[in-house]
Amino acid sequence: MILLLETTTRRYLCRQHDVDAIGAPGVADRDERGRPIIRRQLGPLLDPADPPVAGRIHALRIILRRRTVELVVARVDLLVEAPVIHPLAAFVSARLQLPWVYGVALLAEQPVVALDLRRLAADLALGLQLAHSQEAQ
Amino acid sequence: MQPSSAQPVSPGEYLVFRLAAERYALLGSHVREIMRWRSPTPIPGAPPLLPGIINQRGQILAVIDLRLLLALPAAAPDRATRLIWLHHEEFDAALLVDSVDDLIAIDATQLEPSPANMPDPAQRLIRAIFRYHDQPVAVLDPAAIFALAQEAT
Repeated sequence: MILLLETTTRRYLCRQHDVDAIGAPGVADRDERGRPIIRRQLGPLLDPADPPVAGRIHALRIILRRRTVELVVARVDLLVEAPVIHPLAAFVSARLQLPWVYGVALLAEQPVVALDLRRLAADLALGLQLAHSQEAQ
Repeated sequence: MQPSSAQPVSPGEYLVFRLAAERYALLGSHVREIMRWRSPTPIPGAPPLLPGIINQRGQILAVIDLRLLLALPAAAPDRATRLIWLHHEEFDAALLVDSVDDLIAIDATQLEPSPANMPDPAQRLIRAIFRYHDQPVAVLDPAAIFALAQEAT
């Protein structure tokens, strides 16, 4: 199953099984098993032109061995009909800073990027981010 | 998969387009379509050379900024900006160019070898030269475009 994620200005897809839980963002800095929580706004994490979401927001929780990652988005929808996800062209995937995008699908004729959220979460836990996020810190 | 190596330059119809003050051309048989500029969907983590992806008649195309590939300064899109759907072997992309001039027939006698002393990346991308309205036009190698776009800098 595929989830459609909305940030302030962008839409992304991800595999539902990459996400362990969806709910309201927490404020605690550790989860119920004592793992530190890394909490990030998905929009600005991926695109410096995408402002943080405000108001009613949702958190996608991805549990790793030693960390839990919460990715904050504006909206989450389960797509009843899974779109066909096409792999990125080789000359594009070879140039990505981090391999967080595994494909592209067309939704209402608009391209939407499909994210590997488990890889993204694992990289965040290792302190890896896209260049614009590192510069912003 | 890597694009295959450069092939000999053939006479035929060439699409002439502009980047900055210079004219370039692609063999017409490699061009599927010319599109007006529209903002592509960005790909997180892609370099400025690859500003995003578009949907053209159901085909998802990555946009390659040809100015940046040729190490020319970046420019904001305007009304003349075009996207050229380039097809070579199993590779497709939308090339971002400043404007498109013409589709012209070029015979073998008009094609000259590219100068030997060009700096990279022009040395790798330009396969031949011809004259158009008394100005030089550089013929680009589609295989080299895809190969160079794929290489990390």
